[in-house]
Amino acid sequence: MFGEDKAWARCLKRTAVCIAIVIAFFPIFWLISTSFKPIDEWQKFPPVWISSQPTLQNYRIVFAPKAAQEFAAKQQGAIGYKVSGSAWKAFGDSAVVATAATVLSVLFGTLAAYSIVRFHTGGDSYPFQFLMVRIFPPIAVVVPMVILFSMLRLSDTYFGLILAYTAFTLPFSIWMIRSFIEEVPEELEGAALIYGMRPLQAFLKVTFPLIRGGVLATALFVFILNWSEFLFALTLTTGHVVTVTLQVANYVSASSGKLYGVQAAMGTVSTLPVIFFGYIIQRHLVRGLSFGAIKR
Amino acid sequence: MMTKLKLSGISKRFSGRDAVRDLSLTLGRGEFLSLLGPSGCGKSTTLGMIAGFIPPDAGDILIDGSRVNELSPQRRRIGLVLQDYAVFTSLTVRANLSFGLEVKGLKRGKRRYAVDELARQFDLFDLLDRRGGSLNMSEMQRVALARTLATEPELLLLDEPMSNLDAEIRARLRGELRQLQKSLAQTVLYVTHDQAEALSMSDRVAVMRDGEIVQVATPHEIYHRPANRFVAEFIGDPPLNMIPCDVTADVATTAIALPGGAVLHTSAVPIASGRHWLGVRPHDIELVAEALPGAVPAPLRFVENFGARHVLHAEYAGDLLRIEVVPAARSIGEMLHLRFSTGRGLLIDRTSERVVPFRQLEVAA
Amino acid sequence: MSAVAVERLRKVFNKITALDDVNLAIGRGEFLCVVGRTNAGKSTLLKTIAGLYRADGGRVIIGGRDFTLLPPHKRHISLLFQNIALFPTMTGYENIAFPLRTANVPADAIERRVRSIGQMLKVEHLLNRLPRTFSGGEQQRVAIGRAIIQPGDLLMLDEPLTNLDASIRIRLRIEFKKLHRELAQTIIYVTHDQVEAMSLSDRVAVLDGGRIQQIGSPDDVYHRPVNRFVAEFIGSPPMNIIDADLSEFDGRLSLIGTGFSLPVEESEGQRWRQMKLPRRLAFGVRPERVIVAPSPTNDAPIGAKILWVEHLGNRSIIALRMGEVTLTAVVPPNNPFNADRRAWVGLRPEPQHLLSRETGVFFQLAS
Repeated sequence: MFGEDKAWARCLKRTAVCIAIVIAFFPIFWLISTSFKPIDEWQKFPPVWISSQPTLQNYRIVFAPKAAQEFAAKQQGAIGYKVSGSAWKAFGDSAVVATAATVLSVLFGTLAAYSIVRFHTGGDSYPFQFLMVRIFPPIAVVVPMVILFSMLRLSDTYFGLILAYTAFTLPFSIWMIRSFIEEVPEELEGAALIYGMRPLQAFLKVTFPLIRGGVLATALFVFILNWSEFLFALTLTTGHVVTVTLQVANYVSASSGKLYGVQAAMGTVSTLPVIFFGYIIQRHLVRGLSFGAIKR
Repeated sequence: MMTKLKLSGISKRFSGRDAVRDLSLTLGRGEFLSLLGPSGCGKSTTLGMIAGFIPPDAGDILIDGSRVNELSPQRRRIGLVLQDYAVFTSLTVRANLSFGLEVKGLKRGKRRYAVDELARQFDLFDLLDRRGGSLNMSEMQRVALARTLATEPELLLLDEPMSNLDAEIRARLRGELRQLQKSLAQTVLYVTHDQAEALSMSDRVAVMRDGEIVQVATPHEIYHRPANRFVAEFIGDPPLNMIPCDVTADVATTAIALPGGAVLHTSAVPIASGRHWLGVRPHDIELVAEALPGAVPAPLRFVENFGARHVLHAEYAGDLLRIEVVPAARSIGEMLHLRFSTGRGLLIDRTSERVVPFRQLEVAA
Repeated sequence: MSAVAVERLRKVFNKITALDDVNLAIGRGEFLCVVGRTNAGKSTLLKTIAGLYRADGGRVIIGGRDFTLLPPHKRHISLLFQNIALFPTMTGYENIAFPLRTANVPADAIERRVRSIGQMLKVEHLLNRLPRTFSGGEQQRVAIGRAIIQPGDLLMLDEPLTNLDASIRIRLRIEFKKLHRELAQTIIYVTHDQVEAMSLSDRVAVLDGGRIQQIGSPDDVYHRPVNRFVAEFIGSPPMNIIDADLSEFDGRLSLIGTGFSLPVEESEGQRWRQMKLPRRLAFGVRPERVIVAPSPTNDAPIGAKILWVEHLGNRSIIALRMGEVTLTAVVPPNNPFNADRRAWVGLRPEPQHLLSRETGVFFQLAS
């Protein structure tokens, strides 16, 4: 407690933190480092930590397939190369799907959460029932989903994938937004009602501004989930819809060969939109993440 | 009387603000001392420092003569009951009380018997098997108190323990708590913003304001000889009346001229001539017949009917005067005639705000 | 026709009956206090009258119109919540202006009204600031501003002083009386503190367990309580209720309790016999009617032990143990009484303060 800050205790704390940092950040470090490695360093052993001959070639391959073909031609026979798709399409498709699914998930999530908190819809165990859905490992439902999608002719469609993503992130949205709504005292809405507002107005003008930060934080998390989702993207599409995750996977495949460097480049770039959005809403994030901050 | 607690020049700053400033206080063994003051005056911070949760920036805290600044809260042998009681809601009352005894070091066999005794003493016997979370506020308070007293602390700290209780229960509990304290000879430091609680329960009252102790005295002293305007206005229900007056100080006598013409004469008091305040308690104002010398007229504006007594609010010198009287039929707007002649009053210096008590000599027209 | 009438109002939550057959008739411009313990149903009553809760039975009639099924925003009622509920993202000005803005009142009219309310409540300096920078009392005043800016049929206040320091409470209380006089509005004021209720109201309604125990003027509930609950709730300190047996010996009546005996005056005896009282009963004595003396006198013949004394400056409250019974007495200040001493008490049980031990109802409801 007080005055017990012994040197060895401090040292231990620092060491533990260092180890944690290394473990957490190593994959990211490796990813970025590999993305700048020339082809001969991709699979070298002992591993090259930081390239001595950094190159932008991998990035060029990601974004300009023509350059990729030139490259393959140059490397004649050294690698069997066939780029199975343009990265631009992947970014575009992911943007559409992830954004739409996030918007829908947060929209329905907010409405459902409000109903659950204020009107006790579904009874006391309803929120837990929602959470159960999330507990199911997605891989357990993949096969039924594929069959269902094919029956409903949703396979390999934007709408289908958006629907799947919305459905699977909805429990999370409801659970998170529910706690933000619970923080808003009922009396605030009551006051708005008494002083002349209709219920919907009261929600939009009084409650929503108070949960806005939380809703944005939820949206960011849901966006991350959608953006990085792989399993459903893989199984519910057959080539018409290509997400970023699929494209990244494509670079290490039977048809393309083991283009680790290119994969790393695409991987690095695909983290940028998430960082960008996170930065934009960071102001609201801090408020949104401080659950239970309103003092009575 | 042996000193149980001594605070010597302690202070604490929070984000650029002085919460407690150079505070010194002593508490004797078995004494009940109230730390009284408005919200934000630093009383809870002071309690936190005594308990050991808040390290003071400066000063010493001594319990039984030894300096405890470096000791963690659990090593200071103090008992603490906070505003929200902190009863363990998922445990039964029995388990809650047992916890206290466990802390004291009682072995399991003896504990069971001791819990029953404790429950009897605090009238918790019927609640022993109830879950902590199912109790109402006043039951929780008794459990918290019992649990803490079971550890036989050197010093018991109470932070506004009654503020979560209905007014009705508070009034009853005051006397019971005081009786309990005396029977156990427990040293208690009681923090509150309610002057009635402080006056009714304490051996001494320490009035705090803006991080400093303004006056420490017995309840009688605090009420009849407050040190300054703040204490005078803070203590007393209904609150003190402040009447602007003109003082003419002479060698042997002092004349206090009140609005409306009445003049009070007192013995010489250490105050300069000029405009000051006269502090008069509501029950020290007399209602008299019209033409009596020294009576001032004041129309009746409001009546507070408390059943056994009325508090009248009459307009005088641009403000409302509070007068405590025996119930009688009165009508709003009726002209009252008031006399401040019961021989007790507080002269309050307008610049220094110090209180100068006086004894009246006679009344002049 | 009363301004506000509540008929047989009923509200149930999850098998708990919060309001059970509540009847109130409030006159125009009347200040009614509803007083009771926590969870007696006071807040529920206000919220049901306001329309935030739908009544499960009974009617709410305001100004002659049946409001029972009307949503809150159509009711022209103001409610000041216990936790104040100022809109945290709006300034003081916007909070006070809220009801007028929602009603689409033109901006310049709003400006005038807000300024004048700001002056009246002395909150002008708060108009440009956010609620989280206000003190408790300031928040209260701004919330009051919001509640009164639009003249309505009814103003309801839910424990407005409860969360404030005792010293502020005492001073702010009279402000509500002044406000009432200035607005001449019908007000329902809810509190758990009977001192506030007695001080402020034209009439007091004592609520317990969802039922109104008594409605009457402060004098009514103090001097003529209807039952034990009201007698023990109203008053600081409240009435002493003591169990005793009525017995007759040698033609004289007396009340025998555990450890004491009180003879009934011969002149009163006739009246007592007329009342046909049961043997087992209880009697009430107001604390200021208990005579306490430092040595035995004719008026104070019964020995008792002083448990504690509260010297409050303007009076002293003494708790005494008389036999097996604990009594509270109020005596003038500057008295010689202290804890653990002996004293002598005298009581005169009055026929209007005799009540049934079983039902808790006073025998003579009118004297």
